[in-house]
Amino acid sequence: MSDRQAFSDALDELETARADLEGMLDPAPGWEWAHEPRRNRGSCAAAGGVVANTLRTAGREGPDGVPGPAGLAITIAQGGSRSTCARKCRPVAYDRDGRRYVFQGGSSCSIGSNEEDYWVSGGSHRLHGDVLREEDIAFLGIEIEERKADADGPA
Amino acid sequence: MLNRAAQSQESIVTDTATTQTPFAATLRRIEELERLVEETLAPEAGWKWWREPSDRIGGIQGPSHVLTLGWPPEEDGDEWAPCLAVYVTQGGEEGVAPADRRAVAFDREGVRYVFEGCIHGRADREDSGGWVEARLFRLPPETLARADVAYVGIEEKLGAAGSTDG
Repeated sequence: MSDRQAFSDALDELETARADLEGMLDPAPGWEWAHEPRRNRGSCAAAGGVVANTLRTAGREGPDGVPGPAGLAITIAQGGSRSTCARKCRPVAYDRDGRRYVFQGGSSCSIGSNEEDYWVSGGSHRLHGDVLREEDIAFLGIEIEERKADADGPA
Repeated sequence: MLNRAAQSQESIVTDTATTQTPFAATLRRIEELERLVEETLAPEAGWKWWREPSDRIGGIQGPSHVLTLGWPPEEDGDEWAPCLAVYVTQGGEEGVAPADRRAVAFDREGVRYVFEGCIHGRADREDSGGWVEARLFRLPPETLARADVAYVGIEEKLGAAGSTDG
């Protein structure tokens, strides 16, 4: 087999394997992906009106006072022209066996204008390192609630 | 080398299939194939990768920007063809020469195509002597159609003025 054919075959197999894996990364019922799960995400990602910033956080202290492994905090910002379009978002991590880990919601805020009905919101979500270490995260995505059928916003 | 490594990896996956989830086995295979592909996409002799070849073509990655431009037809009435283009920017202090960098594409068989230098511009600050420049490289669709581009990277000439090696 020529080097060219071998490269082409490897590329074909790589794309097939990636598609297979994507098929295993389904969002939870009632949710869809705002950001498809990815490896090697940068510290900031934006898509579909959702902006996510990722920070490394100090580990939780154990009973002996020793801090555990570092965790991740992801702040998610959204905005829009109609408050009825606002939907919940949450980061989801997968380990190398495909197990899901939903980040815990923390503080959040939302501001808007009643007169013009525009809004912005921000929320913080955390995944502690003693639940899943950063180096064991294989994929990271952002889920968003599916749009309700009776929502006033665009489909 | 690619064949041998691929066969070796096949046996690894088979050996561990009983203890790995399908997810883990697939992820492991993806990572191995990515390594194989990366090893095959070597820079030209006398050059090194300044930006490793990536199959995520498009967008901004630090001081480079990969985009698709419309390419004017050779004959009137023909359609404009999509053409891959790469902006590379750099800057430095007075007396620091710019590095020699160029964009390189690979097709789905791993064949290399060096982008053509297109235009470039440079601005100098009179007060500090600092400078910044931007270069546009293009890959005409006659050379390689946009749809056939599998990877794009940026090479830097070794040992040249401004090179980041050493």
